[in-house]
Amino acid sequence: MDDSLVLFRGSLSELLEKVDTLQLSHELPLSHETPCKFWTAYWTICGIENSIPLVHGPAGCASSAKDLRYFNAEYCGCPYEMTATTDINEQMVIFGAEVPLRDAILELDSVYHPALITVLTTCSSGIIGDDVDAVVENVKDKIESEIIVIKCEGFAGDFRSGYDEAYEQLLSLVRPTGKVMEGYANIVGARRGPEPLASPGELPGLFDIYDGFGLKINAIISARCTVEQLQRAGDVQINLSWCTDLGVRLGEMMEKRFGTPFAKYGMPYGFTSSIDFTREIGELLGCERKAEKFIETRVKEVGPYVKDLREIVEGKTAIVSMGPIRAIHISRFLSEDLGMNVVLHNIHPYQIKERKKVIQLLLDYGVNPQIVITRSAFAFGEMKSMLTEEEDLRELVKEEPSDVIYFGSSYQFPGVPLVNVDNQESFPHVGFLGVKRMHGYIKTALKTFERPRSQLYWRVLH
Amino acid sequence: MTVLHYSTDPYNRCALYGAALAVTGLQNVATMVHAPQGCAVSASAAYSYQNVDYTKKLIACSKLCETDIVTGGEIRLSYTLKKIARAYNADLIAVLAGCAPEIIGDDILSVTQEVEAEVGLPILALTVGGFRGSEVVGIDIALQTLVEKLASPCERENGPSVNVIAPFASANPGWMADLAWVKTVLEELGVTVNAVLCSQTPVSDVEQAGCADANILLSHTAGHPVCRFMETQFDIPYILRDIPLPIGLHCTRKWVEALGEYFGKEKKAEEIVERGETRIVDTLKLRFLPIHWFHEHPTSIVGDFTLSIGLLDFITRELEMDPQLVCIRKANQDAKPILESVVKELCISPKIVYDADIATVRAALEEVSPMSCFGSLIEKHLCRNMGIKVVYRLFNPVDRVDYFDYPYMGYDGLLKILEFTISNWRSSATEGFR
Repeated sequence: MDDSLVLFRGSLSELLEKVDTLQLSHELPLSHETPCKFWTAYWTICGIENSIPLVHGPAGCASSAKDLRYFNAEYCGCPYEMTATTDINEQMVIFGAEVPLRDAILELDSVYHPALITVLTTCSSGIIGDDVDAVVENVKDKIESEIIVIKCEGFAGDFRSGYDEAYEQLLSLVRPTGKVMEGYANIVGARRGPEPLASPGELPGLFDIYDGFGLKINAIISARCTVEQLQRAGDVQINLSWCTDLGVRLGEMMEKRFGTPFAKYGMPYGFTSSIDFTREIGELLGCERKAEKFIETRVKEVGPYVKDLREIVEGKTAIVSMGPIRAIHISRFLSEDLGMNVVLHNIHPYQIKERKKVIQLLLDYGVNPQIVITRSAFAFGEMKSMLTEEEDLRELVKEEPSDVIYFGSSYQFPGVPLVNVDNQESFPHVGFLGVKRMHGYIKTALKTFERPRSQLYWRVLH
Repeated sequence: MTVLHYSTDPYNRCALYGAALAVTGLQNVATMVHAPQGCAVSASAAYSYQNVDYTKKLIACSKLCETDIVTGGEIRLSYTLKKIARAYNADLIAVLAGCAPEIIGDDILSVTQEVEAEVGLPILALTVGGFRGSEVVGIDIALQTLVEKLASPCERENGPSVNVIAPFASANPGWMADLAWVKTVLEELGVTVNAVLCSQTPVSDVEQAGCADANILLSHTAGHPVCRFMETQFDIPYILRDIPLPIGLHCTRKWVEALGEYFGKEKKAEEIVERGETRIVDTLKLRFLPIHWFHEHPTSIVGDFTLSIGLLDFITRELEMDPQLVCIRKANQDAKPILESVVKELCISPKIVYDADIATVRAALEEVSPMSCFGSLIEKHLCRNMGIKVVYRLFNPVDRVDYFDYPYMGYDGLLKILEFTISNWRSSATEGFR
């Protein structure tokens, strides 16, 4: 492979160091479309039932973000719930919008009696300096709804920080009683409201393991949940991580504030991870024997699938291209369980910078895959970057001495077996159930990889 | 009638999105969003609404962050503009400045002028912070700035010609088919389309926009200001401004006749009407019009001005329905008299709510309690718990994927409206049986 194409080649820990010491640029191309902090904060709270997000900004911010509430109504079985906005106009920008905000809160409370009003700030209200905290503090006693403020001006941080800010504020709703609800858990780290009914993603893979302990779920924070569930969230026996990235931050906050034990390891891709995941929960619940018994059952059930796969793919190379945390997790499955040589392609330094804490955690677990970053990670122009990425991938494949299997989205087609991890029907990929699913998908990929790329799709994209 | 006085649950997006809608209708235009990164995601959606090949979308964002808010974003603006000029081989760059740079006082115009001189590409500077208003405001700002910057008055030479304005300012997800139908009518009448502002429009067409004999606005929602501007500055008459757009049998007939009359092609117009109406009748003879479903059926319309006026006329006059409520999402003053004259002519008295937000629509539907609603996916969910069983989903956002653009205007449009109406009624009935 042409050296000028490769911007970084090394392990995850080396990449982390390079990003930390600014030896690698972590700027995303300006053509790359990324949501802002406000959007992710909104996504985090949009599934809370009987709640009104009150966007303190121009109406456009609210109407763009609330497409997700239409989605929730259309696909997730939720009723359509409103998203209100103070609709800041030119005059308010000049004179301030604190009074309209106060009046809006009072009115929403008296007309709709929601369980929760969430005030979200935007660029406009942030820059003009409205003292939103003071407004909310002053009306708190005059309303019946719970109320929280999320400071999420679009310019005030990376999009990831919107999740963290929202989680932080949601915790102010928690009212621990000091009495532990035995057998109850929260799942922490949901990030886009409710899951679609037809495709609940990774949850079934996690529930399979939780069910092994007989755990009942109090709240998924924050997917579709109620304010009452959030209020009780400090009384559960254990918090369980879903997305390791977002879950860790929330779980640790809850551990610190409410003393709730936290099972940190989320996204258990593969056999070993699922076993570790189950053991961690067992230890925290004091149910080690139950955990081992459950593991024994699942090992008996799933073990043959792993053995079968290992016989086929051991020694082959896996090139993985997907979101950073998922890619790192899946690398463990492929290397430890299946004996593959794993290369993660194009984990952008930007993604490392924003997730340093959790990446360190994964390194502490001993997960340290090889990473190659090529020029396409920095290509300007969204579609151009997709084409360059495919070209880079093909170069990567060419230089590999052993057979390659590609794990990623079928948007790319590097001419080797392609395990399409974006196929909605292929979920769950995590847990013991996930191992079975991945077995099927890898076998299919190996069987069908000589089929050509859809000419139609190729012509559409390129 | 407004339920909320201090907040709103809006249908419409902001001025920045509206401006993006207008400029992405230009061929080979690069859009530069000068704002924090989230605004670029909003603006990007405009490309889809303008049917732009998604692999050819030219967009970038200055991604303003906290430091820029403190120290100013002009350097970033200049840097990003130069990068776009180098990377994209565009005919024009449109800068959409959002709330943040407007409030902190970035001098967008000076920076763009400076870069324009340096890179030798026209750059359109649009200050369209969301606080300036809804997408309607953004559309109007963008269209007028575009004309002011690029067009100039000129001699009219070869036969009658028109500019078609703001065809995209419509809640028909397939609005491009409306534009296509209008073009065929104009062609039959021997009228040339001088420029479309804007839909797959070459920048050179905008430069020639001052050469038309008349302007036709294809929206009741936006575009009035630029038509008035061109009337006063370029002496281009703004025609058909007082009549409903061609939706439904009666309004289509009136519109085509008025167009024919203006250009002295009455006979040709009559032929178009005759042929179109015959086609409708022949089709319905084959496929049937279940008038017994509709006669005196208490219904409602929740939509945009562009489509709702003609639709109201059609469902009252031709389907014999009983419209009890009309909610207009964003109502501008210019179109109100048109709706009111239609209501008067039809001798009906529906409750009319202008500038309706979703909260108001919910309350109005609860109060009036019609048996059905012409609306969108949003009304489908609002009506679900109100006992209003049928929602005819005509307006954006809809709950289906359409690869084909379909008109609501003209004769094919009438049949399409009927198709959706009958199909949605049937699927609601099936849900009811379940």
